[in-house]
Amino acid sequence: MASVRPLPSVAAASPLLRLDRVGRRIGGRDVLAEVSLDLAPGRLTVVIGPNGAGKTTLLRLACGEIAPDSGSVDWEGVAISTRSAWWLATRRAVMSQSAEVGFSFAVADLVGLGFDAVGRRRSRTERSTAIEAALRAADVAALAARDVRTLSGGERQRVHFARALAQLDAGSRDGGGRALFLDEPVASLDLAHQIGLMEAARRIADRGVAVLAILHDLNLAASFADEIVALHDGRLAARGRPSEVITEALVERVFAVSPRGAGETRAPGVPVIAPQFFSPRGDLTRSRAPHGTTS
Amino acid sequence: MTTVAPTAPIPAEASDLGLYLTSRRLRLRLVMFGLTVFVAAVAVAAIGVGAHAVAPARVIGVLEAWARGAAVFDRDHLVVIGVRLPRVLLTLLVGATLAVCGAVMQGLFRNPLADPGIVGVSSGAALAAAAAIVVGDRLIAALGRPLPFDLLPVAAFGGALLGMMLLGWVGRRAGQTRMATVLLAGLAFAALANAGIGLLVAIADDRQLRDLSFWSLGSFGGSTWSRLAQAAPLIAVSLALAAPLGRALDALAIGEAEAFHMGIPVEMVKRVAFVSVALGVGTSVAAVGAVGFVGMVVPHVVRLALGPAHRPLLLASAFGGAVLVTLADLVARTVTAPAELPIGILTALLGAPVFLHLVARTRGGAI
Repeated sequence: MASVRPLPSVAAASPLLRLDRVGRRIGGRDVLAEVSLDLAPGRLTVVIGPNGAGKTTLLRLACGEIAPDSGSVDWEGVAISTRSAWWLATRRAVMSQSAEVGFSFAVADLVGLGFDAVGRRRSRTERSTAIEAALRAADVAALAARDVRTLSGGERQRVHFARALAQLDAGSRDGGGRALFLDEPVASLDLAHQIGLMEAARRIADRGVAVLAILHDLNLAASFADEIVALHDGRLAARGRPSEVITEALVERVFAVSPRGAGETRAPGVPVIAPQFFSPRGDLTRSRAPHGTTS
Repeated sequence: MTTVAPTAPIPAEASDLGLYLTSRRLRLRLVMFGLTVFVAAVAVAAIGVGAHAVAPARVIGVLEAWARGAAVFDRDHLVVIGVRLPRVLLTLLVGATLAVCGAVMQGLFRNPLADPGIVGVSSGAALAAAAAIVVGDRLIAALGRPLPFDLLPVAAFGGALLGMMLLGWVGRRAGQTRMATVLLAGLAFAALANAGIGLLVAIADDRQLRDLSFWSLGSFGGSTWSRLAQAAPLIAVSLALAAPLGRALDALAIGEAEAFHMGIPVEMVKRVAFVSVALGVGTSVAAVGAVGFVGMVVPHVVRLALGPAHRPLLLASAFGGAVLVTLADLVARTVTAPAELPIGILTALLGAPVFLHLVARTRGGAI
């Protein structure tokens, strides 16, 4: 696996989270085997791979939700399994794939739950400011008073993103590292919100948070990731900078799809839409609405 | 959703959100204050009403004299302190714990239909209690001496806990998205427990039969100070265990994995909740029999008024349940006086339509 090598910039930064040759069996099958991965502060790591490649299992291992059958997961050098649910919650937030809310919570209250999870000692003003900021970052401020169960799938997804952001905001202020885990955060989002969410994730990473996101859109992954991890059949297929990982050879090998001739769709006369939305890195730290950014 | 240009000034959303959160807080305090006053008023009214009526002012006077330890033995005093007060205190406690147990179960199973009476937790407790009555006698006869503890509440707690654990097990196997399965399993368990009660009725003797008949629909007719003294501490423990669960139940409403992500020790919370519900329901059943639907109706109404957040829900449900059961018992003992109506009939008359309403508005079979 030639492409598996540490990045120069990464070797310098000490990792926040280190997964060392982790493996996990589910139902007698190796869902994940021998996968090593570092998450560093300020770095946005994107995991790609076909369905069933072990992406979600990797995320669940990394965030401490499940324990590996082999290998180890360390947070700042200490095994994550020794940490309590609360300790972890003050340091990392997770947006999982399909959270179905059991009762009719209003959007602002659901996002508030994210804050309240770890922000019990914070003031009322801090709370409302954090909720407000999270609602805006996920572009759901206009839905604040709506019943979350009446929202569309994409809107709901953004609300859960806002909840994760509020939890991250309320979390530990002891100066230790923090992490954000996003499991297919843009799966039901429209184009503008896909970009908006990834820009928000980028901004969070730029503030020193280690971000791990699972994405299916390789263009989106390449545009926002510092590092891409490609999984195939539960094993690491490639790991490195986007330009090193997303190659024709890898796409063919991992996804069994030929990326050649990518300028056109199957439908005659319909072009592939590849939005030219990507502003230079410096621009992304600037706060802005996710709208009006596509060309 | 309107498009917001990057240069647009920050709209009034900031103050809107603050206003929203503040108004919610104020409404909460208002409702809590109103409920507290209401509980006190209903309690005084319930103590006063009956074959020997006592005016509210006189009720308060008697209670005050009693609290001071004054030795007064007129008729009002005997009725209020000797008969009505233990009964009303028991209705308040049982009502509070049934409603809170319902709210806890619904939070735990993420399903507004989960009521201890419907999903078989009460039936489990009633079966165990019935077994204690029928088999307990034979056990004591075989031992030749009485048991060192009262078998009935212990058995009821055990039966309720068994019911809860069964539901938890089914829920774990069915997964988070199949909560309807848990409900159906609960119905099956309730049917099984009721069949068991029927079996016990068949082999019971006349005296046991009289004791048993009161389990089926519940009655506060036998409320005495000694029964209250037995139930109150256990109900207090059940309520104390449930009280701090609000935030955890909020997080669980999003999902078990999500609750863990939000820092909730999920397995511990579930264990505490199980014991709380089993203790509350078991003790209630041991004291007054199975009173259905309170655990579903009260949290449902509270959710409509205050929203689904569990901390206010648990508190308001305690008050609401206390009021509902006290009023229901008041009606039960006055409407056909001097005979008493089983209170379960009244709560079922109230609760079954609410259940149907909840089923009807359920979207997409997710419950």
